[in-house]
Amino acid sequence: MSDSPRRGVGHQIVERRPLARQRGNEDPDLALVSRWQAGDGAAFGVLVRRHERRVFRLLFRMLGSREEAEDAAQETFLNLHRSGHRFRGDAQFSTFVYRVAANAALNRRRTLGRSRARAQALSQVQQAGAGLPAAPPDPERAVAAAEDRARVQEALLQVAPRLRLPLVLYDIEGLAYPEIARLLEIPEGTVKSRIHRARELLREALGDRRPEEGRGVS
Amino acid sequence: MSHGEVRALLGDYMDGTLALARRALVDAHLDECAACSGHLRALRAAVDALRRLDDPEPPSGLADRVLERVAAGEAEPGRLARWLSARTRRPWALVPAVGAAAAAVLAVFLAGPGSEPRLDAARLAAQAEDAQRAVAEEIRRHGGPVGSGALPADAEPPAAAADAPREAFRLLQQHRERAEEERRIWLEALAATRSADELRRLAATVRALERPGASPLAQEIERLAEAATPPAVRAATPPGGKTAPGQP
Repeated sequence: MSDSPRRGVGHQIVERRPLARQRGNEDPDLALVSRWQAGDGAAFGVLVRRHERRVFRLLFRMLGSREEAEDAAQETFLNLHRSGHRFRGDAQFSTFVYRVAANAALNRRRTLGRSRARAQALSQVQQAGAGLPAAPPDPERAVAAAEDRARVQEALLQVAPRLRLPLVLYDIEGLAYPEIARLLEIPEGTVKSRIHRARELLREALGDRRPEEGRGVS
Repeated sequence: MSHGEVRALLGDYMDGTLALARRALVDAHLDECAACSGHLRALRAAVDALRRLDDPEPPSGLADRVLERVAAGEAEPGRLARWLSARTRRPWALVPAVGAAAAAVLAVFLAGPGSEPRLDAARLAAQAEDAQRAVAEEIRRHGGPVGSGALPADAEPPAAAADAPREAFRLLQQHRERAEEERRIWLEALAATRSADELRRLAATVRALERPGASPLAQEIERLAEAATPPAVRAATPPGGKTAPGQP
């Protein structure tokens, strides 16, 4: 048993993002949306601030560049403003927001090529390094971690956008299959198979990377 | 199980969503197969790496820039919506329904809200005021037109507002969009199919969603609650429940 090839596989799984919302039927945004639909512009402002983090995160992971992500985020909220009357309360408002953001991501014609993505990612690592305190406890480790993350982002960009999107929604945004299915207007089975394929492509793009035996979850 | 079959199941295996029998088969295969175990390790490492990615900080001022552009008129609904708005004197943010048949209105209405939590009228009435105050406070603190200071990334919603059910939201939306005549028909349908208690609860919830001040819709619903409902309908409605279409 100690020589089983499965040894080392049973380490702690990294949990998906915990959902702060979704307590049954409630949607914390309903009151604000209702006011906004009645013409209260200030309510829209609150909604933007409530959702800007998740919108930016989704777009950054989908597009790989802060600049592109900010452009797309602004576009997302402007589109949201234009089509807010279409929200009927049939789904969570955040699902609606994700849908508009997803469309903004997929509509970007300019998807970064591989070398540009790497250059972007590396420059962001350098910028991140510039923001570190003068004497970080373990500078080499910090830089290595940042480069690791850049590598993962670059690998993610090698997955086709149509597959990347459900993967990001599931494993990064923490949405459940039914919500992703509703958001993308595809069957749940399709969501599952796209995520499966995307994960395999990500694994391939990351190469022969193996966790070291005995290294705990950092 | 073949290698191909096992690998197809590794995603579910990893997520813990594989049925027990299948899981046992995959376990047994992995015990003997270094290649597939290695594949699983690499797959798990990839997913873990993805989940460990940091939360990118949105650029400061993103919201401000959006709101500036909105204020500059960049994101108004299409021309058709504005023309319709002008005709019915609704705020331009809304698109009123055009030509919705009374039957359609009734059908939407009688279909019922589905799984709605049972509401406690007294609690709701108390919460309605709290909800209005809480949301007004949040708007005051966070929702100024341009740059009103630092904001928590995910402001906790006021608890009372979080309870406002979907149905009241939809009713309010429909109410705002319908022309005078359609509203009247629609409200009559409401009166015919709900008990007085339910109407009062609905009114309280609608108040929780509206801006502070008078809520014409809530008032109309309360008036309907006061008026006697037809004895036949009242007898047909079980206490605390409502009749669904087609059911005795």
